[in-house]
Amino acid sequence: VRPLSIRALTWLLVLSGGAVATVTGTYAAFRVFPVVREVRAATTPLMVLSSRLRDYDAWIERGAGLAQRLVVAPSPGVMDSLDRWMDRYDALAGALRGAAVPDSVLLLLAAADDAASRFAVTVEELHALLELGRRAEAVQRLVEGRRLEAQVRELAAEVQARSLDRLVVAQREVEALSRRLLWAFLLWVLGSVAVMAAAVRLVRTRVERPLRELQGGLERMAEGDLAAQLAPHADDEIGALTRQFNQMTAVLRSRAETQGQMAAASVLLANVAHEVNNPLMSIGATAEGRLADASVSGPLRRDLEEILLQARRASRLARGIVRFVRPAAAGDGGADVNEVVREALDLIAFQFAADGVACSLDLAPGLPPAELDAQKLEHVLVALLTNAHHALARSGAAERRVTVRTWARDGRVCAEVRDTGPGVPSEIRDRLFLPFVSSRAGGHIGLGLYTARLVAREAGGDLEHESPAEGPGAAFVVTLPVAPSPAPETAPSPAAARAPTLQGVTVLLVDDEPAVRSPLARFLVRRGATVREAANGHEALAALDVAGCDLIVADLRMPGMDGVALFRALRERAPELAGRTVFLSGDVSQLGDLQVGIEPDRVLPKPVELAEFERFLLQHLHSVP
Amino acid sequence: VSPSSRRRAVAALALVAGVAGCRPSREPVRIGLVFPGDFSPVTSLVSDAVNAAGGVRGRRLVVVRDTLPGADWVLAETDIRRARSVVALGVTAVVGHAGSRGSLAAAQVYSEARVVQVVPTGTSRLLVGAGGWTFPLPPNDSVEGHFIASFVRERLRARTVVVFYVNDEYGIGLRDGVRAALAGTGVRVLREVRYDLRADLAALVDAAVRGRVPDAVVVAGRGGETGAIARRLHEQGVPSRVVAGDGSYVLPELVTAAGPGAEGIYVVAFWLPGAADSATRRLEAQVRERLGREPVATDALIFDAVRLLAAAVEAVGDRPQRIRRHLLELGVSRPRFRGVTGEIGFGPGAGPPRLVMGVVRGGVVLPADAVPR
Repeated sequence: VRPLSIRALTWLLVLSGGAVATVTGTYAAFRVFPVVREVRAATTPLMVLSSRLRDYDAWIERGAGLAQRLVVAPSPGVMDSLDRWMDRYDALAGALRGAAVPDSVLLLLAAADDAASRFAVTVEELHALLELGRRAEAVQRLVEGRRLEAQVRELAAEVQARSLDRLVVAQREVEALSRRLLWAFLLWVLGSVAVMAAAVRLVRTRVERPLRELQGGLERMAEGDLAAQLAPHADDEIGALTRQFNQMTAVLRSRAETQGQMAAASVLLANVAHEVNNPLMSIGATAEGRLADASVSGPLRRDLEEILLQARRASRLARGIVRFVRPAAAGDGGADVNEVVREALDLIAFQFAADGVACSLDLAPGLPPAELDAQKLEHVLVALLTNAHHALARSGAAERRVTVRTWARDGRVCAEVRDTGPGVPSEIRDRLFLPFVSSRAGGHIGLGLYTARLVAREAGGDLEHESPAEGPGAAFVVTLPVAPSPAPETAPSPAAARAPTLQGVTVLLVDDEPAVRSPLARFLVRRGATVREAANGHEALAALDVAGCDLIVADLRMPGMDGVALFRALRERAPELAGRTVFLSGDVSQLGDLQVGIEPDRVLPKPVELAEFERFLLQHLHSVP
Repeated sequence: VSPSSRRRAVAALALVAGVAGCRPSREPVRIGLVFPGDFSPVTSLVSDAVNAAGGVRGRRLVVVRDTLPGADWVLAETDIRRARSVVALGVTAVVGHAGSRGSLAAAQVYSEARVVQVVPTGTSRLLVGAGGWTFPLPPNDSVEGHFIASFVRERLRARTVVVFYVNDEYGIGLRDGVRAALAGTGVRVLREVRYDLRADLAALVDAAVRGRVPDAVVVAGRGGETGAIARRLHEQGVPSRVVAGDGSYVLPELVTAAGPGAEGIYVVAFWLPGAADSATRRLEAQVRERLGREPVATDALIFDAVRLLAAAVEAVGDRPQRIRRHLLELGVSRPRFRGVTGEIGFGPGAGPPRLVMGVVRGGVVLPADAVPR
């Protein structure tokens, strides 16, 4: 049997409580009111009757007394008093006859009334006989009156006694009722206690315990125990919650495993990128150095130019990969949307080319910066571009095109990614931005759009699907608020103005890769600098022991003593030299972990173009006091 | 047996009775008559006519008498016993009792038994509120009191009056009515004398007229006592005119008791023979034919009361509550019942039936207006 749902159980308990209250009141009313009504109906007339009988009794007693006084000592005053007193008979008799009288005393009362009536007439006769001087007959009437008086009083007493009996019966009825009510209420209380105990047990079993276990499971999960699993107690709402909790922990556990793999892959990817950056740096720098030689011409120059072009392309991809996979830091916002669009396309463009997907840009010039960190915006755009690529890759559309458009309107910066793919399936259109929803096969998690919208909304913007309800194609628009205007840039430092070239500057170049170090050294020499070289930190320190320098350029990753260790050593030995040290690196993500106090702007990611390298050095050289 | 069990048993019996009652009953419709004297020839005039026409809703109409032996119609106690005995016969309604006192005493019995009581001759205003199941046909004592007072003052031009009244609801009520009507008119009430059936009326009359002879003597009592008072006045040579309430219009008791003093007694009647309408003529003819005497007001009132109840049962059936409601609606939401004594209604504003002043002439009561002064 399917157990009652919690909702039904709650209603049942509430209605049961109401029913208990209603039944209790109704029971009491039905038991008490009829008896009270009956007792009242029986006793109220008796009380009225008793009161009126007392008046009757007093009337006849005084009437008899006045009659006797009249017979004994007749006088006009007594006669008038007797007349007035006897006139009260009408009111007294009328009141008695109008009263509702219990059946048991009806005849008695009628007899008393008859006797009283006769008494009144007897007194009337007595009065008349005295007026006529027939005293002996008047005395007889007096005797008759006394007899009637006694009769009336006797009957009235009998009525009173019967009334009292009825009152006693009524009192016994009330006492019996109170006893019955007491027992009924005792039974009712016992029954209620039993029902309440059962209700408490039910609530404890069905509600309290499962909720406590669910709470414990959530606490364990909050502490990081994603293996927590709970056993549902019943097939009800809390049981459903428990099953959803188990499902949630399973998903989180799966995600955690996936994220762990992704993190490891990111590290691996960063390392690979770093390793690729050095040869790319070497290739690019060598080609650029050779091209600087005017004597190189003809096919060799063209080949060198092609080498430089491909090296730079590969460099952008490698830098993009490193930038993309490194953990997002809390940025200051102010992303250049157009720039981020280009960087995102750098990352994914090779996939477009492989699947024959054309990409076109329609970027509005002079866009204000958006209120979102560039790295986060890049994640959003990469997710949208990846979705577009997947949609087009599996479609048989004749035209496979992705268009990225940017514009600004009403204080917002917008970026739209539109593709010519099959569009969003209607069955998932309403749930598109919910987690774990995906139209892709192969175990895709389905968190891309969910996370992208979350990022956009956290920044005060939004991500919306604007595709037509029917037909091919899909468009997603990211809307972001415009970032506050940046502070005006400070004027170039006097040092920079003072020394626009590297002429006469001594540079210590520290890199374990001769293929990197040599082209850079040759470039610096061509720019007028004096270059000394070292293969690692130890060699650099040794060289510095021999002679000083104006600037130290060190790779971060080196065997023996790496760039970070060199920086620490310099900070201890020669802090002024530590302040004049800059770094080259294929992976700058490690700096955050090392916490060595190297500002990000002192690190130039590899590979780097030679002109950019020179600008970086000059900028840093002249920022040193 | 507990009260609740008893109530359940009664409810079950009522249910069974109700189911059984769905079938048309062949039992006769019984109407009780509680009144002194033999009025069965009058009631049979009604029942014979109704039954000859197919009965009441197809059932025979039967008028039954109370079963209490004895001839006492004075004590209230007796009226209560009579009421109980007639209720025990299973009557649908009752016509009775004689006079206000007995009717009032019995009213509580009928109220508890849920039986409609139509009072043919009681005038006490207390009857209207007596339990809600009592319907007096005549006007109340207040109306009659005004009628008598107007007659005494305007027709007899009396300036002084002595009032004799029987010491019950009827007498007291009529005395109050006369007293109220005469107040402020210049007619003095010299004395009010209560009496009953056993009173020494001669002594009471002698004392009342001793010293000053009233222009008129008003009697609120029954025929026998009124006759005795008139006789005593006549014997004493007192020239006062005697004016009596409706209770005295009982022939031949009134004339017999008054003896030589009967001639000229004025008496109030709710009906007098000789009216021109066909219903009255028919009743008179039937009474003369069956009873061999002249019809009196009581004949007409009992005749009307039985006809009224038969018509009510015909209209709404024999359930007491429905009969009671039907009577209350007469003259309000239903037309008044047209009887030989006039149009009968009971609701507010239904209005009193007609009153007639009669005068004894040659042993019979004639309309006073038709007799030269």
